Amino acid sequence: MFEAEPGLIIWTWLCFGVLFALLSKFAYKPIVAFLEKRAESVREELEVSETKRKEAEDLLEQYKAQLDEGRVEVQKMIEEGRSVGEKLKREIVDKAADESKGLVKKAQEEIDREKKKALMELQEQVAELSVQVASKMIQDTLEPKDHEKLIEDALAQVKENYAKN
Amino acid sequence: MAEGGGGGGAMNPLHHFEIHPIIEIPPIAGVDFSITQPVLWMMIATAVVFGTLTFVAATLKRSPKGLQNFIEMTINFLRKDLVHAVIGEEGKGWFPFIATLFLFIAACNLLGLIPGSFTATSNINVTSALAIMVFVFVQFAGIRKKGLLGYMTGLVPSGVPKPILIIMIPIEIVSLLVKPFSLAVRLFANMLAGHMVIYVFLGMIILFKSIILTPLPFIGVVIMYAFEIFVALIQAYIFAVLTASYLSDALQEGH
Repeated sequence: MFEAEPGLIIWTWLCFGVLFALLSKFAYKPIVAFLEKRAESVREELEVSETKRKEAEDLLEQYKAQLDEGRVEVQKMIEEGRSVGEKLKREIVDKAADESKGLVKKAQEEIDREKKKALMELQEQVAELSVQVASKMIQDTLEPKDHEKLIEDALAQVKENYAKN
Repeated sequence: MAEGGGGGGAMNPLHHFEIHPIIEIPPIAGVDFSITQPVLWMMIATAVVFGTLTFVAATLKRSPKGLQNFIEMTINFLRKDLVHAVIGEEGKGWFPFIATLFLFIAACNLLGLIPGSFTATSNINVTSALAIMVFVFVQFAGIRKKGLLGYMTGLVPSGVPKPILIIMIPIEIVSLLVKPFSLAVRLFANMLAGHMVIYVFLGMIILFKSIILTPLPFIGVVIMYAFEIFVALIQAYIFAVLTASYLSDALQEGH
């Protein structure tokens, strides 16, 4: 066990040498190349995904900003619509009120006009009747009874005329 | 070697570490090249490591599973946490050497745990061969980097007064030679001692000849076995990391 065995020493070098040569050629080179290639591709993929993530974040920010902008715009539009509606309502109400006032005034004027016309007609008839009565009194001496009748007739006539108008 | 108890050769824990030729080869120039147990188990270790790594290298998949995962983890550990961490960028070219050292020693150590097998690294000749090889490569790396004169002058600290150099130079030479010696002895002693403790515990079972006492050494064997798996890997790692450290020293500028 402790004796020097040159043969064993040479066998050790031989075994190690063969293993070293074989592994260097058939194992280390392909394995290390493969590991480096994979590490490189993983690094690249990570970089790509990082860029994609940043892009997505930027896009999200953009969308958020657009959404906020849209929301503000919609709010503005609603406000505008409301104020326009209010204005329109006010205008319609005012117009209706004006129109109704005009109609009332017109009706009032019509009534006044008709009233005046009726009164004028009445005056004309009274005057005519008075003329007729006077001419009759002049023609006949009138008994009080006749006088009364005459007045009554005249009043009836007036009444009749008034009813007609 | 003292024989343990009355059990003859089998009871002697050192008996298991004696080497015998399995296939006898006539000596060439006075050197015996017979295939002994350590040679056989080194060949098996070489075949296992080569077979496993070549199989994985031939069937690499982008999303690893099982064996590929394990080999990838080992290779990455050796590349980054061992070679690159200790030597730096310059160590890239030394990765195959250090990785093979680690895998070869780890395989020899672990295969030695199979009952009936032989731990090649429990023989001083094997560990010495590896340590001598490391020593030669370290000197070669240093000389290649700095030139023979530059490497020699780099061995002693710069700015040391000349009279002190008389002491420093022998100390540095000794420290240089002690490194491979310690590498060889550390691995050999650890593997030998650990296995010997297991054999001692196993010997106790026979020695006690008592069914009541048998569980005690048995528990000892189980615990030691688990510990030996750990030691097998740790010793391979220590050998590799020290090699990397010596290489780093040799490649480094100045002392």
